[in-house]
Amino acid sequence: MLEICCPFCGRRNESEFSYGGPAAMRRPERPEDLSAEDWVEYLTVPSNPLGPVLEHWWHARGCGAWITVRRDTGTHEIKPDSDDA
Amino acid sequence: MRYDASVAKQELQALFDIKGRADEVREYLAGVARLLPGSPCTFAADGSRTIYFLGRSHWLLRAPLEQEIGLLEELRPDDATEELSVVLVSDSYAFFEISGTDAPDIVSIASPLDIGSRAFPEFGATFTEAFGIKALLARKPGDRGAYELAVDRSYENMVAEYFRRILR
Repeated sequence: MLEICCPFCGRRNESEFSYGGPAAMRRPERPEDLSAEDWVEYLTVPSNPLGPVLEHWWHARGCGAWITVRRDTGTHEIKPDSDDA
Repeated sequence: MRYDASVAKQELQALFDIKGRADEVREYLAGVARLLPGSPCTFAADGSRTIYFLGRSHWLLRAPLEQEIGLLEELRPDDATEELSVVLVSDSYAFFEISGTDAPDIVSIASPLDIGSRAFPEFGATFTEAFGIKALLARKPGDRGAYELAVDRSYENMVAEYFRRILR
């Protein structure tokens, strides 16, 4: 079980949060030009590199804040993104 | 194993959900409550009225039901500024009080929240997870360490049954 630090509530159990997707992903410049397959790829297949990734999490069962965290996919170490800290 | 604890469902109370910038909310509530919580995830009790500070811009005001009409007249939700949201939600939550020596054990069964006295001291109040659903948990002051747990009223019977099974 992960522990995620909410800027308002402090360290909380992962089960209080909902995953909100990768934070650094850019929407394609012209979505209307994409094939259906490419759009599905963009929407539902986030990259999963080994190492630190930037993610959005929603404190759905807590204060309701959206936060950005840096999670290491290898170690599960979680740090707040500097913008939220 | 039997726990030395009891769970009591609380009577319906007046409850106002207030959202807005902290300084505006403080000014707005100053007329109805003298004591406001200063820190995130805490509550302050001022006589019969309690104010919970639950999110960066989220507060709950709780009072006995007989004060509901008077508070509506005092707070005048319809006249609140554009930056404030004030909604009467008295019927939306069901409150349970968990008291007794083993009350912390009961709360720990229900919720993954760290309720150690440093992480969640007296006058602590926060939304968290309990029995798998979103719940408001508050730690009352006093030697006996009582807690209050509030859930969406649609879960009231389910949560009451969970407590009954834990305590039987």
